[in-house]
Amino acid sequence: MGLLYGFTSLFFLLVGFTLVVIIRWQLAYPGSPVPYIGSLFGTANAPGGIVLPEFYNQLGAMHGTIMVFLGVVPLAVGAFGNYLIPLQIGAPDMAFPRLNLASYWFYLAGGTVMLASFFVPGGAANNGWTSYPPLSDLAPGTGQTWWLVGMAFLINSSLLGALNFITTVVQLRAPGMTWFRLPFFVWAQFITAFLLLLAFPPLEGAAILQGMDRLAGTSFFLPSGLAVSGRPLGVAGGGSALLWQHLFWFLAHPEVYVLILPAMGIVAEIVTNNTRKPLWGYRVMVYSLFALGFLSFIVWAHHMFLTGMGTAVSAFFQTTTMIVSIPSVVILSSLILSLHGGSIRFTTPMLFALAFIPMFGIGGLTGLPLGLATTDIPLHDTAYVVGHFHYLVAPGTIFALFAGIYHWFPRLTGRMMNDTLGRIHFAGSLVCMNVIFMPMFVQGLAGVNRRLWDGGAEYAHAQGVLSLNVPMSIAAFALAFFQLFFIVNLFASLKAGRQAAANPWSATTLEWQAATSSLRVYRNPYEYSVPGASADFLPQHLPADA
Amino acid sequence: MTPARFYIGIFGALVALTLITVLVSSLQLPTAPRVVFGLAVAGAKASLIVLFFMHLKSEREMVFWPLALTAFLFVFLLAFVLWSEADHIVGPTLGS
Amino acid sequence: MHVLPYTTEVRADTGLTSPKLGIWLFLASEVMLFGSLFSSYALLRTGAASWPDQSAVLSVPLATLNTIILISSSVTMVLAWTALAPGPQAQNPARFKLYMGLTLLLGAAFLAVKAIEYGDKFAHGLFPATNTFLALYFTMTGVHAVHVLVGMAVNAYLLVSGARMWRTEPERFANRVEIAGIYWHFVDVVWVFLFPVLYLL
Repeated sequence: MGLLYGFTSLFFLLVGFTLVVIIRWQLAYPGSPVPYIGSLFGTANAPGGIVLPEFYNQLGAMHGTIMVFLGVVPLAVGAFGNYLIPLQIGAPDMAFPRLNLASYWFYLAGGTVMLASFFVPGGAANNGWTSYPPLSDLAPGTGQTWWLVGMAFLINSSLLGALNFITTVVQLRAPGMTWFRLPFFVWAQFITAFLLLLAFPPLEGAAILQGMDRLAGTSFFLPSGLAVSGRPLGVAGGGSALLWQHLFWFLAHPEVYVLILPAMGIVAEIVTNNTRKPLWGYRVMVYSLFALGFLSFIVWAHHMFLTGMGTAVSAFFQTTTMIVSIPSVVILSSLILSLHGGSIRFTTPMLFALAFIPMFGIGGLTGLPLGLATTDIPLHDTAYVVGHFHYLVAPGTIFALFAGIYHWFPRLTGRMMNDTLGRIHFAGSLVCMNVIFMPMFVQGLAGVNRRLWDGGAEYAHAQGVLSLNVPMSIAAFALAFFQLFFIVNLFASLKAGRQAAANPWSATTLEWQAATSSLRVYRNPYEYSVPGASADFLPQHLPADA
Repeated sequence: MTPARFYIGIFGALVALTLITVLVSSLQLPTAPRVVFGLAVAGAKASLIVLFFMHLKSEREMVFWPLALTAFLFVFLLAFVLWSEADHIVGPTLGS
Repeated sequence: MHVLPYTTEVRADTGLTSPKLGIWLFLASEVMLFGSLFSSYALLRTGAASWPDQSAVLSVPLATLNTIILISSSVTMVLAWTALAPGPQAQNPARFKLYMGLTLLLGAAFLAVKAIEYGDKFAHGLFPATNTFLALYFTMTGVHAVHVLVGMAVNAYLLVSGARMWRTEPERFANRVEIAGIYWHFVDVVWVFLFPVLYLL
């Protein structure tokens, strides 16, 4: 199951990445034909290989949708979660195996609908991954409706998966696996599951309402008196475009914690393993997960500071937003403190995990001005925001996912991935990602809006920073090149990788043992370098007196 | 009292509450009391069903806490959606 | 047949079976789904310049009848489970079939009344697109009706396949009926709120 999710999600990540490579060409060289593949898009999308604005918007909206909902979450939660949770807690299987399979099929159905939408008349949804009405309500063609259907499938997949994860962790822990002996990774997945379970349904509700607007002529999100192209819209009106924003962001803010929590879990496992030291502040980190999970539900309107909200509501959400940064800082600090005094092994997974820490730091710090309404005013919807969240997801979460793949590959296949290719993949990706995303802060501060088909060519005030688009795009193409090292490594190592020992990283957690569901747990999860012990690590299933 | 008799008893209470709420709504009270009463009766009926038909009264902590969190989040969503709508900055209208 | 632990027997430290926890978690997500629809109702109504007199547009007598029907189906559902539950009184699969059959009948009656209501609205030219109130009415009761349908499908399956599992794994079957019952009661609870909000307020 983990493997199914793994390969499917990696495929979707590749698709999402391809979309953005096309976007980056258009941003660097607006109006010039896309080389090599430009003719494949068809004349409706890109006559002569030149990307039309409507097609550019499809690329943008679907890049976001595919990366978040079809790529990162299924990989971080569906693949890593399904594979590792039962092993790490000593369970025979997930609590509801058939429901789990249903989750996967819903995911695949949703993904198929999303990809198919590119080929319908009018093309795929092109209203941003956020699908704000009235634009999305009124978008011509059927692409947006396909997006709604696809989202419904994906939401249901996540809901079923979430209740499976929670029940499994509660009910199927091996004897002796008490709550505070759980690996931090399991805690992270557990809290993530609650976020998915409770935050997704309002978006499903909103999707139903938007579906009714698009198909049944209702006006849930269409205000009275709306005129389109100078003519009043012939609908009943009385709706609220802000209603969509509330329902959407009620999910989408916890969603970003869904993106980061599993990554923190993976990084924590790899850091402690490669420093040969217990995680610093394990308990505090777990409590921080609770705080992060709970607070993430009550900050959503910081995405809506510019919608005319009053000062009281704005003050409330600014406050909760500032508070939610604290548990993240606690977790990051604990990871840094975990390094202190450790004997660090710079394995390939560790390189990615180490890079995660400063990259997540940059992403988090750049979020602070966005979380305060006054500083958000010039920055909202600019390239600055795009830089902010990409630092968290790309050299943040995706790096953590790469770390996890390199780390657990031997457990899955019995072979090691190639170190040299891994290090080249790491170095190239790290440099390229920074070249792509760092200048976005500069562009955003200069006032360049996001989602502009021509990258802001018409902004007289921003001409100086637009030239940055060229090196950024070249770095994007280079980033694509460096992923080849990973892809080749993955498939070659499957066939011919160096045979791995049973527990090649000398780890303490249960997934490295055989017959995990018959084990009993006697120890905390990270008993590395215990003074007076016979070995530098004591696996969890080893009885206390050994 | 056998379980069956107990459930029938709850049924009787539920029907009574239904009839009460329909009768009161025909009195055409002003908005605030009407809403409060209607929701209060609905809440009472729902509590009877949840506590006794769904046996939540005898259920464990592990079920109780996720439900408590859910109830909090539902109320929060409702409250803040309404609050942001009420607490609005109305700017100059376009074209004026 | 290999069954995962805690499917039928309770786990000591949590006091739950896995299916029991699973259904409550599922219902938590359903609370959030219907909660978002109720929130939408509240927002759109408080923000509206004018709102129709709901009890004049919709049929309160029909809805009151439907409320009684659905509450009755909840009673028959819990009685169906009582007929199979372990306890001092003897289990009675025949009584289970009777009450489960009644539950299905009442569920069908609920949907029939709903169909009559919808048909009556359409005949008078009242559609979801007509105004915001009707849009909310049709959407909220429509989503609810879909949930009723799914519940009926599950109940029908339990009624039809019950005899076999009752013979081989009676406790597991009784638990399945209990879980289906919890879902069915939830569908009733949603209607308990839909009724006053859409018809009476």
